[in-house]
Amino acid sequence: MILTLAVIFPLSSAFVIPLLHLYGSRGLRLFLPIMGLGAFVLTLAAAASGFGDYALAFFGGWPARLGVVFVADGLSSVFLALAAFGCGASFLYFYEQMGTGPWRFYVIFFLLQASMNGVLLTGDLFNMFVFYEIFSLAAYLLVSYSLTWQAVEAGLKYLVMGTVGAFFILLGAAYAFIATKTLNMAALAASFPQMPKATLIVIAACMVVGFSLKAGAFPFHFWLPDAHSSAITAVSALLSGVVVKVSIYSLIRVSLLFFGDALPSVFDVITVLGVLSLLGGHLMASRQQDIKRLLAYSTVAQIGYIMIGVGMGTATGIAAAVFHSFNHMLMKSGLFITAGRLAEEIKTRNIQDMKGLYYHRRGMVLAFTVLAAAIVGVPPLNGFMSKWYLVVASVEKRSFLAALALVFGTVISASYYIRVLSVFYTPGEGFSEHESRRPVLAIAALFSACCVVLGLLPFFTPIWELFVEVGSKALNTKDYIAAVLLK
Amino acid sequence: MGLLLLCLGIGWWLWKGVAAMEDPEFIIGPAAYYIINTAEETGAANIVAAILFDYRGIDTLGEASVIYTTVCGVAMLFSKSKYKRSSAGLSFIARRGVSFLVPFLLLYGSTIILMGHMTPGGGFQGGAVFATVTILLCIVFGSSFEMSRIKPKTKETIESLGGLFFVFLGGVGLLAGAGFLANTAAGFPRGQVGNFLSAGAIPLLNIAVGMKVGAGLSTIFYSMVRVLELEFGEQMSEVEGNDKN
Repeated sequence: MILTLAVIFPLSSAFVIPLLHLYGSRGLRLFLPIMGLGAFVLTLAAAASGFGDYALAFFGGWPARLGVVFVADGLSSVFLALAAFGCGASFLYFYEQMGTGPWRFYVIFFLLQASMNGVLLTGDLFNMFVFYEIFSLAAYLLVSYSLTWQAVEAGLKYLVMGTVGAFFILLGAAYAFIATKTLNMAALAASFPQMPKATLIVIAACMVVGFSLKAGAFPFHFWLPDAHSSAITAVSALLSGVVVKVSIYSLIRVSLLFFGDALPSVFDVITVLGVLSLLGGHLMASRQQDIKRLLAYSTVAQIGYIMIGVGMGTATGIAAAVFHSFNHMLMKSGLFITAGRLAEEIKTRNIQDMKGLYYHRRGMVLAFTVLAAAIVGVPPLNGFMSKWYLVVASVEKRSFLAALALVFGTVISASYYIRVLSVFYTPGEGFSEHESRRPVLAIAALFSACCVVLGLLPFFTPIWELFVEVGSKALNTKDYIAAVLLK
Repeated sequence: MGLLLLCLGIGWWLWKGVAAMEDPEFIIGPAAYYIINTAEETGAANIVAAILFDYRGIDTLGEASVIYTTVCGVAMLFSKSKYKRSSAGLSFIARRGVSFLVPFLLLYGSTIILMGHMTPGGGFQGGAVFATVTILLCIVFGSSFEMSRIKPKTKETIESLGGLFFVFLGGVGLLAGAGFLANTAAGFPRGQVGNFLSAGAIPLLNIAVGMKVGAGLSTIFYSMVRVLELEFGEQMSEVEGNDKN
């Protein structure tokens, strides 16, 4: 029930908003905050219901083999919580800035949220593709929402690359369907080990390329910096914080379920992609003069960190990847919100023109500093903790090259974030004296506080053990298959 | 040349993936189950409709939402253009001819939607026919005529109501405790296979999808043709301006 509602409620909100707009806008003003809050609460509730044991929802009352089933387990729970917080923050940011005026934005926003929840919950390969289509379309539209030529061009680029990625995912799904005559992921997982090797390799290649394209990993990243930097602030935060994580979730889910036993070399490919994207992303980021492009390239690099964790294919590796995904949502959404707001206020995105910003926008710059320190990995902030666990996981797996890349990447990222911060703290003149509005400051402060708390939490509570449990449960495909097919 | 070789290589590799699979002699998996049990379990004579709207109903809701997203996006992208003037439309003969045709087209569209559970067809196809009618009106009579007959506001209302109707029908199943989009399990009457009134909620879901798709495609065409006319109008005024100079 609650799993279904987590998708259906935002979806019906998207259907209701045009009606409310057409027949009296007072209704829109009244109901929009309720819709945002409802979607947030329901997503969190779905996350909570799946955290302990497998939670299932059967559509049409059909068993999993015949119909479509929603499955929530630990892995999807963490990503659902991530999506709830990320979407909530950008909803708040946009609502605070624009009110209920641009109603079409909210329609697309709720479609995006519904379909992301759908991807995170579904246990059916084709259903995942359908939700992928909605969510990619909504993302392209949100990128070009401002209708400036940069935004429209970035949206078009994203559309073309995203469609190519969707094509690969569909091709992989079609091969899987031809080979096994079923689309349910648990049934597929059960029959993958008997599949001929040639088919298996085609499916694996299609899936890895498709999901990496959607996630913006290095060789396929070139749409990402444009899309994430030219969108409006709320959308940049949403895209970098949440949307790419949904593709990471799909990559984890598909690679563990389908290829964990059948074709373990997939994980080596994912590790290589991760290392490439880490180094490439950081090197490109260190050359940027535009602050939002810098953050966007930094996202490419952070996707690399997460993919290295996934590529380890062990419980600790998956746990570290999931933990880093959550942390990256907090850090990057926060960074995009603070940097985007500052850039909007002083009407430039060039880093050199931001000299002395600290003396005029103390609150925002302080929040930016904490978040940047977290993403670089200054102990004891959360970025340090998850990077530490990533290094531990790769050393456990004896892939020292990946561990070395993790450390080396951190050094590069420190260099360019320090460059930005030193510009902010050098005395300079020429900004109008007014502090950002309270709600934006509150969001930024909340996110940076979360970074501090999540960094300290592993010392006091067994939160890391929880993540390891999530990882080992995601690795245990037999339990997943039994839970879905035998109910 | 290198590119051609690369494409051929990938094609060969993909072909090897297909060739490695052995084709079973019989239909296996869920497909076999659908063929045997659809009529009994859902009451629909059209197995494809039963799979689309009953066994895998949530996929259909998703696909209809893809169209909804596209419509919203097209309307958003073209919202900045201001409507200037309508195209004049076609000649008297074309107008008369189309006005004779329109009632039959409407009937045809309704048939496709309403009989979707018995014959090939359904909400998507019938909705496309309805959209074609509005597009024909727009081309033959000019877009201002079409706008005055079927207001954009009406279209958006129909589209959103279609989506809500779909969700409502799904919600009945949820409230009945049989799962979202449950059909006969939620108490919708199964009827006699092959009768007009059969297959429980499937005809209603077809209507919902038809509303959504018909109004949506029509809105897409309308938003885009306005821009074309705008550009055409601008060019014309430029030509006139050049003539004066």
